[in-house]
Amino acid sequence: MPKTYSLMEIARLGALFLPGDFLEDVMPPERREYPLKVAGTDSQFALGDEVDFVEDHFNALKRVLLLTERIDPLRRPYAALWIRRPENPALGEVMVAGGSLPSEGADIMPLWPEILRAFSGRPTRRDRGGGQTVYFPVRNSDEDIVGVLELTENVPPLFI
Amino acid sequence: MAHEHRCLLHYLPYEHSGRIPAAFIPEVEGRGKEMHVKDWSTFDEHFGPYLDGSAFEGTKRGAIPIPYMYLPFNFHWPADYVKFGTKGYRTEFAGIMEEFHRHFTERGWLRTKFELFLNHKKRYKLFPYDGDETRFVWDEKVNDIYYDLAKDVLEKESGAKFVFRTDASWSYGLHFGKYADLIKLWVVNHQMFSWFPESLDVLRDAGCEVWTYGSAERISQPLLATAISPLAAVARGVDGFVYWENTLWGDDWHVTPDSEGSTAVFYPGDRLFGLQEPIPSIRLKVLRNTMQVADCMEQWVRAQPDSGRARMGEAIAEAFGLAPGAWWPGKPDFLDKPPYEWENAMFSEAPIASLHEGRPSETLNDLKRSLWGILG
Repeated sequence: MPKTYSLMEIARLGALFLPGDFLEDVMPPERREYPLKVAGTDSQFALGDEVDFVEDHFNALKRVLLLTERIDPLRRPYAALWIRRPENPALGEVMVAGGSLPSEGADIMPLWPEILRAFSGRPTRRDRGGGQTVYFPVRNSDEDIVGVLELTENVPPLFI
Repeated sequence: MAHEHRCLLHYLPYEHSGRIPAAFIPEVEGRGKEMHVKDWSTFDEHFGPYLDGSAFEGTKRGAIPIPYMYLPFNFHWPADYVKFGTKGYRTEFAGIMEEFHRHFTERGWLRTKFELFLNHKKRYKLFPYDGDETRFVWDEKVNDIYYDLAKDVLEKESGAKFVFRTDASWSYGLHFGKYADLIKLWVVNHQMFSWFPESLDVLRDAGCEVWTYGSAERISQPLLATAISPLAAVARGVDGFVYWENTLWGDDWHVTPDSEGSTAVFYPGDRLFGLQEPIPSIRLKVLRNTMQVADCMEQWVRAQPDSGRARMGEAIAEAFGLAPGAWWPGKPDFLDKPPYEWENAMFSEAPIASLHEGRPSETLNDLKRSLWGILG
C-alpha cells in the first residue's frame, strides 16, 4: 500500500519551503494598503483594479504552492496563501493561489475561527462535509507570522 | 444560433487558473522534451465540425467554418507554470504550439484564425500579471515573453493561421504603437479606442485587425442602441465588435435578466418553451439585421477609392443627426498620467461618443433608404 501523507503533513512540508519574507512583501510598498485607494466606492471591480504584485516574490511563492500540491501523488489538494489586511486585521484575503482559488474566492472578507487560530500560530484542521482544509502558519525570517497556508481537498474550488 | 445571426460564440476554453476541461484540449503526455500530444480524437470530435463548417450544414448561411477561435494556450497550459522563465517552459509551450499548427494544417482548418490570448488577471491572485487589460505598464512584458515563445508559429506564412490577440483598455494608448508588429488582433475598449483615432492607421499599416468591445445594450434602451455597434464599426473602420461577456442571463432571466440583459443576448430555450437549444433575444434579431446593413456598407466601401468610408460615415451621421467626427469625441486630459494613476472618478468626465441618445427608432430605416440610394 503506497504511503500517503495527511493533509497537515503536506502543509508542514510545503511551509518549510515558503519564503515568508516574500509573502510579506508580495505587493509593492505603495500597494500594500491598496483598499484605501478606492475607499470611496463599494465596487469590487474597482478594488481589483488596484492589485499589483512584485512578480519575483509572487512567482516564487506560486511555485512552492504548485509543488506542495504535488507532494503526495495520491492526493490532489489545492493550496493558497492568506494574509490579514494591514489596514484592518479582522479581514483577510488570498494573496497567492496555487492551482485553484479556494471556494471562498479572492475577495477581502472577514476571517473565521479556524483560520484565525492558524494566524495565532496553531496549525488547524477544518472538516468540511466530505472534504477537509488545513491551515498552517507561515513565518518570515524574523519568525513573525505573516500568513497562513491553506490546503484543501474534496471541496470544489472557486470556478472563475 | 450565433452563426445564423452573423455572430460568433467566442468561447474562452480556460479558467483564470489555466485549468481547461478535457473536451477542450487534446490529450497531452510527458514533460519537458518528452511532452507531446498523445491523442487528438476528443478535440477533433469537439471542434472539427466548427472548423470545417460541417456543423453549420443546413443553415441559411451555409457550411462556413467559424472565422476565429481561441487557443487553449495560457500561462499554465501546456507549459507547467512551475517552470515559468526556464528553458523547460519554452520547450513545453513552443513544442505543443508547433504540434497544434501541424495538426490544424493537416486537417485543412485554414479558414479560421486561431488566437493566442492571455486572459489572466492579477485580481484573482493566480498569477502576478495582467495578460488582459493591462493597467500596470510593467505587465506588458508578457506580450514580449509569449510572443517570443510562440513566434515560430505566429510568423509562419503557410498553413493554419495563428495570431496573437490582446484585449486592451487602460494601456491601449501606450501599446498600439509599441506592439503593432507583434500583436495582430486588437480588441479594444470602445470608449478608450475612441480617444485614439490615430491608432487605426498605425495598426492597419502593420496588418492588424481591430475590434472594439463593450456590453450589449440593456433591455431598457431603445433597440436603436443595439444598431449602433455595427454602424460605428463601419464608420470607424474597425473589423468587428465584441460583447464581453454574453452568457450571464441569470437564474431569473425569464422575469428579469441579470444586468438588464447587458450580459446576454440569448437565453436558454427550455424553461419557457421546452426547447433544448438557445433562443435569440429581440436585440439579437436587430443586431443581425443591422449587421446585414453594415456588411453591405463595408462591401461598398472596399470597392471604392479612399473616400468610400468617409461617404458611409457621412450617411450614418446624417441619418443619426450627428456632428462630423462624432465617432471620435476627443482625448481626456489625464492621458499624461500613467494608467495606474487613473482614478475611476476621472472616467465620468472622460469623452464618450453618444451616438443614439434621443434618436427616433425610424432612424435606422432612414439610414437604409439613404444607403440604397448610395448603392444604386
